[in-house]
Amino acid sequence: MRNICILLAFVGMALPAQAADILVYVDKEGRVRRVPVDSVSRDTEKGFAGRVLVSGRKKSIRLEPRQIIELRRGDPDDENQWAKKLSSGLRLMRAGKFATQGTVAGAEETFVRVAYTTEEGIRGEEAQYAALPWHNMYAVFYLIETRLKMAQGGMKDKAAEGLKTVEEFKKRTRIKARKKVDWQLPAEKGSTREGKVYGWGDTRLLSEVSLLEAQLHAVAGDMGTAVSTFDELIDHIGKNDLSPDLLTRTVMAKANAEAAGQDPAKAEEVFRAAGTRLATMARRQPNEYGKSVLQRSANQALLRGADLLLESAAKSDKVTYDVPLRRYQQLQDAEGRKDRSVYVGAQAGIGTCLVETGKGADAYAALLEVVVKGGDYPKAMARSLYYLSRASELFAKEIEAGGGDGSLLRAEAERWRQDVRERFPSSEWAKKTQ
Amino acid sequence: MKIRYLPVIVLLTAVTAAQNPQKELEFARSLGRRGLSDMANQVLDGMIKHSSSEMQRYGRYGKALLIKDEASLARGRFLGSLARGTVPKQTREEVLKLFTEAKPDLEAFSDKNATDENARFVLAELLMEYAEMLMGVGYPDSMKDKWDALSTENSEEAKKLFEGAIKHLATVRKSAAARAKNDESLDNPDYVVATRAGYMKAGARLRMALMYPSGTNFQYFSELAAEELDEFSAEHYNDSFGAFATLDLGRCYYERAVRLGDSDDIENAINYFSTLYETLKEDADNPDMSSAISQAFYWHAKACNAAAMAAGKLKKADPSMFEKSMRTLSILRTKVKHGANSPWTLLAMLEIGESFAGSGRFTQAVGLAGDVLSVARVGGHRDVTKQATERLTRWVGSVSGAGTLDAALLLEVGDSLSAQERTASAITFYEKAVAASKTAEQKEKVAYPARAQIARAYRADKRYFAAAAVAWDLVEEFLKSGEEEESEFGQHASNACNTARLAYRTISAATKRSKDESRYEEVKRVFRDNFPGHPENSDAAFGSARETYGNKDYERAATELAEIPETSKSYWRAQRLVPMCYWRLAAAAERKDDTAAALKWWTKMEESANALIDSSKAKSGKEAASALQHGMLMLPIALSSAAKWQPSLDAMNAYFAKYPNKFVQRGLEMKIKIEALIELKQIAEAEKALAEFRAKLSDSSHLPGTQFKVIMAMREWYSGLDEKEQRDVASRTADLLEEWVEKREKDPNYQLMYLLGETLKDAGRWKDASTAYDAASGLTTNKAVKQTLVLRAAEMAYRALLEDKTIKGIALQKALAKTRQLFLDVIIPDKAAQDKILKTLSKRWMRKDEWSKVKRNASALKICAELLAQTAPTGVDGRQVAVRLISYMHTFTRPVKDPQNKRYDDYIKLWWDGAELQLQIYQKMGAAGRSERNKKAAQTGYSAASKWIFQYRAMDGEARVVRIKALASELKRLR
Repeated sequence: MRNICILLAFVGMALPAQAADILVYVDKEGRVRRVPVDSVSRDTEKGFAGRVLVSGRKKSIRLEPRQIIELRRGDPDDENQWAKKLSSGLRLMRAGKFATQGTVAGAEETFVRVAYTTEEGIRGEEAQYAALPWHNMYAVFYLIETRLKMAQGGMKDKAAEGLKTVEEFKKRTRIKARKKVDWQLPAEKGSTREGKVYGWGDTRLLSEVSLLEAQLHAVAGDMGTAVSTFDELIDHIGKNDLSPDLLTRTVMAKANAEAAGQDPAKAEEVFRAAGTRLATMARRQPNEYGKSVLQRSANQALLRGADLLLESAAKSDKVTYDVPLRRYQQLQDAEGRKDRSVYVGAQAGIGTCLVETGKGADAYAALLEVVVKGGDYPKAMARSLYYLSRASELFAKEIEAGGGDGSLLRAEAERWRQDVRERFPSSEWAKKTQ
Repeated sequence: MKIRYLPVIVLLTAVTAAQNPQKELEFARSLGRRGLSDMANQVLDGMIKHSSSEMQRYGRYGKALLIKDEASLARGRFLGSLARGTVPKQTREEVLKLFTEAKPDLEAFSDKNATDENARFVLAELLMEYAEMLMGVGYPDSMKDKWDALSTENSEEAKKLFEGAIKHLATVRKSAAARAKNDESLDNPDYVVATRAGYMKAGARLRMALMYPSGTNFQYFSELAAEELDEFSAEHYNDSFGAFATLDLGRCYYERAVRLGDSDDIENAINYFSTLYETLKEDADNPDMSSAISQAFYWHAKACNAAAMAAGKLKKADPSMFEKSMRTLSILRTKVKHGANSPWTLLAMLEIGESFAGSGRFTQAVGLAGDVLSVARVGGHRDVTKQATERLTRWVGSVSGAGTLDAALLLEVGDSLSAQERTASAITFYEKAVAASKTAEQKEKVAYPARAQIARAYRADKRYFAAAAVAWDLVEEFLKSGEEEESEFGQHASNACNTARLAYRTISAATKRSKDESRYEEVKRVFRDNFPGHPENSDAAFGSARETYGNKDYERAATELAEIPETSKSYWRAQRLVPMCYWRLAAAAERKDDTAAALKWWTKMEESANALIDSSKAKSGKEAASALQHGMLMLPIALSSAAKWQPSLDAMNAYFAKYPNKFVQRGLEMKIKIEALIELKQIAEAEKALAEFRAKLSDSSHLPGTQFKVIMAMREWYSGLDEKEQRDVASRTADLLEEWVEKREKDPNYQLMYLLGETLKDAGRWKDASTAYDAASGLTTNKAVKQTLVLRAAEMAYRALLEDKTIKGIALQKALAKTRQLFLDVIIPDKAAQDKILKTLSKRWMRKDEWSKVKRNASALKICAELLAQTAPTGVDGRQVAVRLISYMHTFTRPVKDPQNKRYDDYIKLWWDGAELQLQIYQKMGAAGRSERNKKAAQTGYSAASKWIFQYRAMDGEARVVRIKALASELKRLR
């Protein structure tokens, strides 16, 4: 007992926990868990096995494929240099620094360096210097993602390069894990040289790569191949009972690709169809978590569709605001009853339509409801704050027309504008207040 | 001190100090510092008019000082208001005017009293402050844009002032040093004066350098300052003046690095700061040094960040640097006098946070800044509060992962921003706090106050409709909840309702619409009917008592509340608040470790709760019933806090019998019951009650602490049970502890894992215990502890191996040999000697010098013997070695308690385990055949067993006696 007391005196003086690869998964009770990963022994479409850290203890864990939400590897604190490089590449990618600028390497170059290395490390220092097949695999995966983002940002030739990298990924997946094979490695100024690379065998990332592949086809303008790739992937996820999160992302990516460049009314149809499809899929999901993820995305797709109608009304004289207003009200009465994000999003839309049609008091009341209930939904909140600045002026006029004094509300308008500038400085609404 | 008594005190002090001009002067200065300049002037005028010439001299000096003090105070206020970003009450020009007035008076005085060193010190100080004020040194960074203008305008004058100060200090130093020539110790006042003047002179050079943002002037004066500080600190390396000079020297290099961009300078600065705090750590309890340590640590952290930034390395910072910083910080907060709350420590924490943030560890950065914010707000460090808030707003957005941020921290950031009138950011943080509040307790403690604050912020920003809407939403939720006004929710709802009322009042008055007027009337009615307890609402006496309560004057509040007549409509609410007052008083006393006062207030609380129960029982009506429930809950709280366990348990059971599922205090009720059960040694009942607690209130904040108490009680309980029961209870304890540890997964530490390992070991769950010890060893950097834990893990793995029936034959032998080698490496670290020692021990007992190579690790020796008895290396007689290792272990442990030395107590069981093992080995040897050698072994064993049975009849338990006796009779048969 005495010893324990002495030990307990030290409780709470622990050092901060180290960062590590984080596995996000759904447990059997449907709760989303985030745990640091110690080691991975299997990560394929048949399941995940490995060891994770729980309270500093290593625990074995086995997961079904549908339980995994995300595992993006690359740890800044890993002693292995390649894992560190993956992490620095990810940081560059997140910061939008894709291409190399002068002597400062961008995300693309960083991933290329990791993707083709088979360095073994000198004896006794393998842990720091040896490249493992998974380092290669994640680097190629991130490289495809980087090239997709570059292509989406306007560098169209990156789409073709990305598709080539997809082929490489698939090819190396077919090679047995850890086996070294001859390969044409990228060299200076677009040339290649002979070398060896690792294969990595079956992997869970293959479906993620297929999703990137479909998006790359879409960016390259090959919609036919893109749609068929999306559909094949959706079938594949269903048949193999893979993650509902991946399914959702695929359906939404497909809708985004199909809607791009369409007129708003058509695009709304695309999103409405995607929403309906997701809702149907949600009903077929075997557990509550899957149902809720898909249903939530279905609702967001429907809301996105309604937002497109609103955009169409704003752009065209032929479309009145009654169309989006009715759609928002429908959404609020149906999906909004169960999903607060839809309710709040639709409420912001309703407020916007009412402002645009000059109904000050009603618009003001509708938008205030977002202020009260929408703290957790920044998109709807930012829009509402902007429209409140306009609604307060309209409302002031209405009060004055009724013989009252609208100065209080008039004075508010600038405060709402100031609020949106301070709280959501990078939003489109903040720019509109300039 | 009440102002009306001051003239009397002035008079009395003047009489007592009449013959002591120094005391008189000090008194006048203290009045001046409190802002009572008129009175200070009266005292000084009296001195000037005095018949004694010395009194007159001090009176004139005092007049000059008074202006100087005023000037310094004004400067402090001016800089403080600049730091807070508020409009200064006195402008810089006004402050400078005061300096200008003070200067000639002091100069005149010091010229007339050339030998008075105090006057010269004060004059030098004034000149330096005046110069700094002219130049803007010490202004916050936000004022840097004005820096250049100030510099060109006043630099020549400021330079002259600094030079004047340096001249005065040099004079003082020279004359005092001449007097102190023969006694250079800190006991000699002349030496101290000389040293102080020397330190101030070197410091004045640094301040002079800081006047210039960069360029040749800065370079020249900073070199002079570095030279002088270096010389001074080398001379005084042993005293506090030297420590502060080293700090200034480091600062000098830091400023040179920042302003001139020299990387060598930053390395120098880092070295000075780190050497300083590493050296001063030894003097941590010396109050003279504590400020220097905190400052050195702060500047070290700042300099490291500057170095990393300059080299573009911040994103690649070495994790060990953080560990080192955190360890030093821990020392600073726990060991250094006043270290925990020092503004320098807080600023250092923010700098470490900056490094965390710079390398992407935003969660840790936010955690540190959150800690700083909590301490700084309570301690009134406004500038630190502002800095912490600013950094939190920058870092919070980068923290990834849902639920990572603490809702309470977000609320606190919101409050801090709100206090700085940054409404938009405050609202954002309040909204984040609401979103992060998931559990019922978080909603009560964070979400409700945050929502009330959002309403208040909108009202303060004159967005009245939004204020009313947000506030009304909270009120409606409260009205639907059915909770009472006195609950925490009720308090926030009543404030929100008042906000809504005031907002509608403004709206109605401004718009002049009947619709708004009727809405105002409606809200007013709701406020009046549902929140009668709100200070702006209730009857006057109750309102006043509530205000007293709100002002935290609980003792007076209790009296005022108790005096509210029964005829008042607030009578029951008042009566219910009385025990609450005593609760708060007792809690405050406990925080101050005033046990006697705490006991007094707990008793008062008990009395008032009993009175409330008695009076409310006799009455009917909803309010009386509510008061009865409140009284019945307050009573066990008071009893348990006063350690009256049986009455507290009875009272709590009575409460639960009447209100089975009313957890008004969110689990405190169950905590009280369980604590009482533990104290009354009814551990099985406590375990059951804990199961109920976990089932009913899994998110209660009282649950983790209570669960841990039950775990510790169960550990003590099962140690007295027989083996089978012990394992059962230990297993249940381990399950509870495992769950508890997992809930603290963000804060793993080796002590907890060690405890888990011990419990699992007691439960006989060897494999799990091994994993726990293994995990514990990975969480400590202490080498000795780590080795012990690794051994424990190995021991448990060995036990698991013995029980694992799936491992057989060669695999088992190999596993045993591997474990054996692990333990051999511990007891005989010299690997080259291992083979020789084992072979020697196979044949004979070793000499004392030979034993010196074998470590006295009792537990490792015993396990090693156990392993050697089963499997031994080639050429080694494992059984003989085992027997001798145990005998060696017996030489430095004891079989029974030694009243002279308690440290042997822990080894008793080990001693007997070893003894039993020896007898088992002899018995196996005896049973192996009828050779002389085997018979001799049986005889040796029998002799030993007989001796122990005779000498230590009780041994370490009855089971042991039975086993040893059985072995003795077996050995007797075999000899």
